[in-house]
Amino acid sequence: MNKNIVDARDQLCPKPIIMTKTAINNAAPDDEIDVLINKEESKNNTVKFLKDNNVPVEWEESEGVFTLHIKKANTDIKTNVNENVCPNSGLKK
Amino acid sequence: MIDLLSTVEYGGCSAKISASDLESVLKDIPSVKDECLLVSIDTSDDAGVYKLTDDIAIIQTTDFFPPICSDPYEFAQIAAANALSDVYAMGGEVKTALNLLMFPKDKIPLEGLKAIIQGGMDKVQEGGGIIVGGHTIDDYPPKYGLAVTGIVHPEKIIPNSESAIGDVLILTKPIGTGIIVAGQRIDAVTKEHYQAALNNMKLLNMNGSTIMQKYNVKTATDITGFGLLGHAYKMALASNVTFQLNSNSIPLLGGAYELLNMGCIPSACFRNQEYVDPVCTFSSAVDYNRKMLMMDAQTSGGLLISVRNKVATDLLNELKNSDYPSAEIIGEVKPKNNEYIHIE
Repeated sequence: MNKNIVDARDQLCPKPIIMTKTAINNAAPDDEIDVLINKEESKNNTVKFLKDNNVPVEWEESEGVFTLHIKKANTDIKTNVNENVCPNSGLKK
Repeated sequence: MIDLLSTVEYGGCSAKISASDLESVLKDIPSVKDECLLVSIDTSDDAGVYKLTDDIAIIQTTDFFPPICSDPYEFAQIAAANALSDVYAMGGEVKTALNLLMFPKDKIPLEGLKAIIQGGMDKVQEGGGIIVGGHTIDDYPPKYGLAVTGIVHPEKIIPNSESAIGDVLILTKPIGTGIIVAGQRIDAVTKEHYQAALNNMKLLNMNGSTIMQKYNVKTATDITGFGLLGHAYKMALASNVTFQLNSNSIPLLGGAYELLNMGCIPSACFRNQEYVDPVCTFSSAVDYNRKMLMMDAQTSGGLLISVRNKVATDLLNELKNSDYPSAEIIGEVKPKNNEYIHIE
């Protein structure tokens, strides 16, 4: 298992999401990924993006830098088959 | 060379305050009643309409925003096309407009200011109106738009609120302008796709409006900052119906899907998603990229037209043969269900 660090600090929206998605798609199945973001809106958008694509994420904040902890695990990444209010749907690789 | 896009993180209609935030504020402010006020903010309509005589009502609307592109003349053309659009969406004709202009005179050469004024003037003239004045403030980053006055016969207003069960929904322009502009900012879009998006934003909704009036269309809106779903929701809500949309029929700008697939999702998509999440359902067949495209904030987007089924194909063909080759039927109007919009 590897831990990959994605430094998306000072990146214009939507660069942090692009960097996060690229890192997930390039990671091995049991890798962990930490994404560093220093804008709250970018953090919120990236967390929402991950949740909508069924990728588990936790985050913490320290001195203005948000660290998102992502486990690629086996979340790789299928279309959701449930139909309800705006369900999370799948992410195409 | 002047590069207006470098002055902003969010330009065009992506800079709008979210619909959720606006509604939370407006709900505490009493609406105005006047027997001559034919269309007000109560139906979240495109513009206000005030009856002057039995034959003439004035349509008033305004829109302005920070730069959506680098070239000042082109930016002004887009901002003006976007501001005029509300009049066309109401079935009216443009008469006069006032410039609303914020410009940092010490940061950008005055030739940029001149190009903005010229671009707006040319586009308003193309739209059948004239600019009769304006107001300019020293401010950074620059912002430009218009306050527009149009006219319409009081019995020929096309509001948001008369979409009927069985109607067909037509969208006149492809979506994806917010995503393409975000892609341009990070240098991930081709020159051809970017220019096609700019041309799409400069294109007036004037001829689309004229054509839809020939088919006796009762309800239409224009698609701007709240995205296709945000504006479709406002129309479905005002008409008390459910819109069933086919995600695969929705016309997209070239390159937009590929950008979204990279993860190029502008903040405005998430703001619009928050707004429409409680009122729409998605079938499992709708992929994430198409879903987010439908949330993309459009600048100077097309008309969403609700038209009687039996004339829909004729209307579509006439649109396609005029300025709107990408126009498509994107859904139909159903009896009000639990949700206002269902996407297949």
